[in-house]
Amino acid sequence: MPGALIRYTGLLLIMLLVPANSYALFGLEKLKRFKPISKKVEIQMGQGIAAKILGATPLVNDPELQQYVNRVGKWVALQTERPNLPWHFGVIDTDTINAFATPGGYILITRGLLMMLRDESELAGILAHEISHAVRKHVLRTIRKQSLADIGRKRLNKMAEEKGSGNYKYLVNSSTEAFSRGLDKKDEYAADRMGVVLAARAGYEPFGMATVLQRLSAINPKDTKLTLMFNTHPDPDKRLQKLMEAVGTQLDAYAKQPRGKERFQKIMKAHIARYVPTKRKKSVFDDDIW
Amino acid sequence: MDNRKQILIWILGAWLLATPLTGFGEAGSARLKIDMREQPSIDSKVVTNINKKQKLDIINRLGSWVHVKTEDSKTGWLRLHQVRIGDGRRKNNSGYFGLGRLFGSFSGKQANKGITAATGIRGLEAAQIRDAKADHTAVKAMDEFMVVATDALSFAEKNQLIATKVPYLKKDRKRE
Ligand SMILES: [Zn+2]
Repeated sequence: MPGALIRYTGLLLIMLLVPANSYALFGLEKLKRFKPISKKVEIQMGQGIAAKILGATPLVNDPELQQYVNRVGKWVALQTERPNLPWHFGVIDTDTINAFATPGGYILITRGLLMMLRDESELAGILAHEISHAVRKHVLRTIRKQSLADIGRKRLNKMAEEKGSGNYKYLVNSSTEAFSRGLDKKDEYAADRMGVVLAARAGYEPFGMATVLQRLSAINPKDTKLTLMFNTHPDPDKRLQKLMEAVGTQLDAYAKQPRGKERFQKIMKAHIARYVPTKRKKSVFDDDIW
Repeated sequence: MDNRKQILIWILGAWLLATPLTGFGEAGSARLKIDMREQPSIDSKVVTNINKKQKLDIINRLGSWVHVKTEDSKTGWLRLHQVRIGDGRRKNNSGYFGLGRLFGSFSGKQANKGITAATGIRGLEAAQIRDAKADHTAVKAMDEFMVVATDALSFAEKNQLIATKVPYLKKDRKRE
């Protein structure tokens, strides 16, 4: 009993000391602000943002294609520190070129971007970039900083639980607002660096994403299909230069890993042959935003 | 399909066939003045010096290296980020790239579908996302395609994707 008491007292002391130290280091405000949000809330916010994106642009009506993208995505996600997030991947029906990572593991890629790709390693590379955002909680951090900085963690948790309520809508709308403005540039570069490693871990030739960046940098930024991507991401050429600078020769050993070209092109060819554009729902405007 | 469309597709097809097909048959140019190597390695012998904006034919890629051919038929390797696709000017039509183009040559019907898809006008702007009505049913629908770990593992196994231990890049290793 006295042993346990000492242990508990020790624990109590540590609990008291550590926060005190952190307060001194970072200031009370910051600590309160960036206390981690629960995984549950993270997922609910992700679902909310995904619902907004899907409200603007529906999923491509092709179950085979959707499942294929989920297989590739999940395989890559298994190579991360958060293999157990509820990883969902979806192809959305728009010609614009972009991909989105919402918190909690909901990842969306546009059909326009998919149509630009030439093999599975490129798809894996893009999904790996988005997966990296979710694993590192880049989006969550941006949302908290930009839109919800003055709302405490407990209140956030409560708001997220009241699905369908005004509070929940407010949470989702402010999250979407921050989300649509894009992430910190440094988070984008970090996701590029992490993505190539994840692709290599998944057994792919790691430079698929780099090739896509090279291709994107040949498109005029004024091309309307790229507006949102160019508004929310650094210039693709700059990304490519920074990525290659950081990679150096570190991944050259994996250059001969497969790219899955035949498989990818077969699946895409079949998809194109049966593709029918998804009809959008009539009203895309939310009349009860407050 | 009307006649005009059909003619357009034939012209496109002919153009695709006429494009020199070296690998993907892509025209490129040098991003900067750079040494061209005999092999895809920084220790390899220098074949020739390439000038900034010099035209190149992209033959192939191996990891971070690109196999290229100069106008005077010298072949060698440059690093991926040292090569630009095209003449360095940015193309307006993103539909030019990727499978839309590749599959355009299979048949008229498919070409039509692919190309239409790549040049449509349905866009996705930030404001559209912000103003959209949340579609929670669609989010639920994503569950249907969700893949469990065991499925992902068997997908990888079937396609000879072998998981490898690869450390994060040196720049990021302090995180671990
Ligand atoms: Zn990103």
